[in-house]
Amino acid sequence: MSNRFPPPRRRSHLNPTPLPLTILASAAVLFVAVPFAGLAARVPWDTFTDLLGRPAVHSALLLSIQSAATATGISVLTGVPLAWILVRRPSPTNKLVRSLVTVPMVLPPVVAGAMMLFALGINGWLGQHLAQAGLILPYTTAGVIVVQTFVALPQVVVTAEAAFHAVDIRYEQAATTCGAAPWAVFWRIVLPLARPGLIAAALLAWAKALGEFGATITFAGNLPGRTQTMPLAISLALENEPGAAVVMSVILVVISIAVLVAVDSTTRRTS
Amino acid sequence: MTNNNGARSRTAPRRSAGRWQSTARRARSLAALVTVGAATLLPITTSCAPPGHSESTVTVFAAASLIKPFDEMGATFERQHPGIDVRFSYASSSTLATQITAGAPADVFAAADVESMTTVQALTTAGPSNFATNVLTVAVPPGNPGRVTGIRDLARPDLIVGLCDPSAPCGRLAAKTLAANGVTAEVDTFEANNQALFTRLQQRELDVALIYRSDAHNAGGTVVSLPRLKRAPIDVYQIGALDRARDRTQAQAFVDFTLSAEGRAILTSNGFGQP
Repeated sequence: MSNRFPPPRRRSHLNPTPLPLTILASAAVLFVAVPFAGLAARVPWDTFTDLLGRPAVHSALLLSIQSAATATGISVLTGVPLAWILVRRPSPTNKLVRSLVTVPMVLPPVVAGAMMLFALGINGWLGQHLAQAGLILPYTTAGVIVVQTFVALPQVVVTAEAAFHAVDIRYEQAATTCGAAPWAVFWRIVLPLARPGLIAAALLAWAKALGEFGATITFAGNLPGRTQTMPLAISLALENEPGAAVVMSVILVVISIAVLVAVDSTTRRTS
Repeated sequence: MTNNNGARSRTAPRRSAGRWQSTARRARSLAALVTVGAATLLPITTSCAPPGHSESTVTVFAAASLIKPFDEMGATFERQHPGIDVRFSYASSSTLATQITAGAPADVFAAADVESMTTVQALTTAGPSNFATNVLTVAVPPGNPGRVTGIRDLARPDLIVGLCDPSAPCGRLAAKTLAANGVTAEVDTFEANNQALFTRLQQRELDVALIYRSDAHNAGGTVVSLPRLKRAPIDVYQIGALDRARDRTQAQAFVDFTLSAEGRAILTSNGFGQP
């Protein structure tokens, strides 16, 4: 008799889905799907390309993408090393550090903005000294980047930690016993192994920075071209130009979906 | 459970006992599910009736610049009409107009300019009435760190200048005021409403701003306003009861109170002008 077994086929009649689960799950889908349907229903198709070409929309979109990219860059550059240290050097101090760094993720964004103002505003704790040195952060694009980094960095740390946890320490140990210097071990062994997770970390952080609103409007203010990011532009457009608000919302939804698809495909490459 | 011979196996649990256990377990999990479901859904049923909802609540949507006078008026009105509760929702008039158009449950709308009221005019019972006026004034933090002497200084690039966003009445008024004085401002931030702008100035985050005279009037020294502008366009505040008011008589009563001598006195004492 052959020892080869055919690959298992899905036999859902052997584990049927209980009806209550189906009903509750459908409710979950509806809950999320209805707002999208509402947005789609409001799209002004006839003026869509017109609104898309508006300079105000362009400047907000460009500013959002560029500032989010810079914020992600800073977050990855500083957050990935931190995540690595937190994973490989667990200690009570590092546990505290980890808690501190992840708090912005659960903090209400407007609180984050207020904190930034108190710290880095012109009369802020640190800000007043910076202002005397000529470095003013509020009302500048740099200020926008600072705020976005504040929310993106925790995202990078948390996701990168998960990526590093999946790296088998024995590879590093083997490399070290073969005589590799610590930096070489990190750069040539750990990073390539963790790469898909780190790419996901960067993408999620970028999405988070892109969507930042409460802290941005509180700290950086609102000036088209300099500090008026997409979410701010949408919020103000909702009042006098709902059509433009819808178009910009659609753009952000499309970008968000693209990010999710990208994250999904990079993480799938690991498994 | 019986074996092939039909005889009952001695090691198998008695069928009736096993059934009873699983029924009890099922009953427990059902009870747990019902409790969780009730705990989740119960707040929804109670919140279907808005908190404090009764025939005698008047909901007033008012421009953010009206916080002080309307809080006072609300208290006085409630004293004069025991049993009526006045609740306020303050925000930029354009935000409120958008909310009302979208169906928000307001009984009265008090807008900071005619343009905001026009968008909901069709939804008011009688036409809106003018009840106050406001102008802008150049204001600086105490100590005048930017050495501001007049409205022309808003064009200085070295100053941190704040205005209201054009989507709000105070922003539209700012544009008119600057135009009337022939100034092109070098703006650093457009704040969503007059409250946000005032707070930024008060916190010394700005060197100069164009704020409502009423806000400067109530600042109590936290903000210093420059002498009155010679050319200062006026915003006319309008108030009206809405068609959708739960009790139109009461809504109109509040509107009438705002237009009464007492109401006008409260507005004037808070730095507003009279139409």
